[in-house]
Amino acid sequence: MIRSAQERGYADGYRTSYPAGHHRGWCDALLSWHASKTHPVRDVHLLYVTTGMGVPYAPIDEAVVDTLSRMVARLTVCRPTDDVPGVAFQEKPHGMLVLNGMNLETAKVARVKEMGIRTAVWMTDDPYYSDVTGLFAVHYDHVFTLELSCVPFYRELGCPSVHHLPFANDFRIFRPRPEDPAKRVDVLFIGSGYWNRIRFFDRIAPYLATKNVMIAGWWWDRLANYHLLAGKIRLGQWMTPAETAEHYASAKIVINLHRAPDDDSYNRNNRRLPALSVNPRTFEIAGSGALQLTDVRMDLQNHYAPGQEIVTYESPEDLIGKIEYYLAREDERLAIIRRGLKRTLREHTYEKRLDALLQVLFA
Amino acid sequence: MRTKRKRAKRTWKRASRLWHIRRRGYAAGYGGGYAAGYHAGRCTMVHERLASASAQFVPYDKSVMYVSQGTPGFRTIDRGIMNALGRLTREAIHVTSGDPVALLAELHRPDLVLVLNGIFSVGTDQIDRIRAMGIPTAVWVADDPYFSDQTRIVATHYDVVFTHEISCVTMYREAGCREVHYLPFAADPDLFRPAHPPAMQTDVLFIGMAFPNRVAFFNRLFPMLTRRNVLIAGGGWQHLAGYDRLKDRIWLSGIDPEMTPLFYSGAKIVINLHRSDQEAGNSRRFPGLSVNPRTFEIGACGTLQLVDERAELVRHYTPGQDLETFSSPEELMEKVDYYLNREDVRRNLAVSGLKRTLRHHTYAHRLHHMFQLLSQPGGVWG
Repeated sequence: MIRSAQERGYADGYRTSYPAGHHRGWCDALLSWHASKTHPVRDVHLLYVTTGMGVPYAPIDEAVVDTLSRMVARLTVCRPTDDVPGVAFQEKPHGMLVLNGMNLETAKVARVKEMGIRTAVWMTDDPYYSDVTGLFAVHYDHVFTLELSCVPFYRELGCPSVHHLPFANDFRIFRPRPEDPAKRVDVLFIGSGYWNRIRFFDRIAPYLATKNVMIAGWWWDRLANYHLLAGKIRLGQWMTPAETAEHYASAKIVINLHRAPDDDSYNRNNRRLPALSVNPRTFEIAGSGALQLTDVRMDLQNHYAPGQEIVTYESPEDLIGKIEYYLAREDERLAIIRRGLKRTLREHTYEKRLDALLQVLFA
Repeated sequence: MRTKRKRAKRTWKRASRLWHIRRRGYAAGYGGGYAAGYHAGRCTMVHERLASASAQFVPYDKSVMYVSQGTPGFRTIDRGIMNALGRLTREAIHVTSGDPVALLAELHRPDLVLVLNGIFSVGTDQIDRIRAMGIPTAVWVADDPYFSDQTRIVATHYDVVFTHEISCVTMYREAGCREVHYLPFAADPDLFRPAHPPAMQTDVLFIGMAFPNRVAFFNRLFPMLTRRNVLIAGGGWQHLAGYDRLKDRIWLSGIDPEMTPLFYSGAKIVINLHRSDQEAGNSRRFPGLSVNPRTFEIGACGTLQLVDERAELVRHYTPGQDLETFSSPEELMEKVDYYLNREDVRRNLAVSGLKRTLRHHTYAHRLHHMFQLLSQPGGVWG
């Protein structure tokens, strides 16, 4: 009797934890394999100008610097407020890459270009600030934008070389990790309460109120149904990427809902350029090993196969149906996560993006 | 009234004790299940990544007729060879030794007739007829050196002889075979793979027939066999000393070859003990220097292998890194104790062995090598 109680307990425990162990073992083996890959170093000297801003840009700067330092023979880093032409004159780099470019005076760019140094900018906010970015893009030899719809826009402005270059996942931060029991939730959303999101969440609030949910970010008190979700909302809490990553890794489902391109209260996009491309979060959630439910953007299918590597929803009702479906089917959920992670590691890393960029810059 | 309350109290106490025992069991099982799952997941990933190694080989524009022996003991080898032939040739035709092989060869006109073993199976008269048609013939001997007295004579009827036993290469040359090559066996990664979830959890597993040298060896393992969660599967093990006490750990009916990967994957340690080379069918006493197919098959399942050392082993695996070796029953028991207590070390060895197998020891690798040898100048395809 005692023996069988012990054995039954053991068997139950074994069965319960085996799939989770299998999933993590698989993910870790995949990660360590990718980590062991080495990339050839390009024999060039690159000058990198940071965004010069704090969050949320600083982590991107860090990721780019970290990746570039392994990809080029020499890397010089400076801020847009530094004497960039002076540094360029002294260090004589082969090329200059500017991230975002909003804070770098165009005169400085022009002077660097005069020295015969190839210049490139990688736009990080398109299309939301196209009124501003449109003013300085022409000063660069090469323009890279993460927004597909901005490619023709910059071309029409007269930029000679314009390329679509989406963001990527920084696997140093967003990676599958052991889940934190304190952060364990079924459904998670992290992000600011832009009006399109508020309207959407107001419609699913009665449903979410019955679930193990967490929402974190600014402005969520604008929800008409705020009282239904008040206990589940971490209002005004801005999380560091590391914290966000921990929350992603401890959630079963993470919702991604893109911001609207025509929200005039925060945007400077008078031309109403559409948003066709996915946000950086798409890659980050996929890289964290959580199941991502995302709204559809045209460019999405070029990055992930819907239904295979990611799950999409068309409407609030569709979202509810899919949350229910995947919460009840652990195997399917894990299988999609694994495929999404594989794709992210294969294609959506900073190495891949910067390799494409350097290819263009030093062609 | 009082007795009733007492009884209720007693029942409650008992139930609560059982509940605690069960909860402790659950906690232990939870840890064990997670660790086992983790290892299985790691192996699955490695397999996904490396099992398609045969895709790197460019197929040959040739048609090959494969003659299998048709006995159950060679079924996994047959399937491995056929799977690889399907990928590496234009056309792979599978016939068994009971078929009218010469007639079928005349019909299909293949670029090569490849016979496995060739001793119990297809008659040499058939081979002579095929050769007379101008179709090249090759034999891959799978049981050297145990039947070398017979294979020596049979082999002379073929154009090319492949043997997995390096000590027999010179024997065939001296017997008059023109072209003789050493070609070790391998594993089929589609058949032998880390299974998820495995069939049965064991600490120590041995699958194989009870040849006399094996029984003698296992007789000296008795203390370990009673103490550990052991499974021995194969015919003839009733001759083991203390069989009555070990009965429930011995499956005399053996395990179906198709099922063995499920058992290998569920074992913490798999023992591989080669058959003795001092047997009647090997009267000239050619030494067994090469490893058996099982070495590769265990390696393909992501489990730690303890194998008796043969000279050729280091050519395929690095002991202490991809697997472990033993030379006496005492050493085996010592290593079993060591590795059962060191889960991480054991599992790292197992993963390393799996990688090595998938990178170098699949049938696709072997057949690719075989075709390269045949295509050399002066070879039958040269």
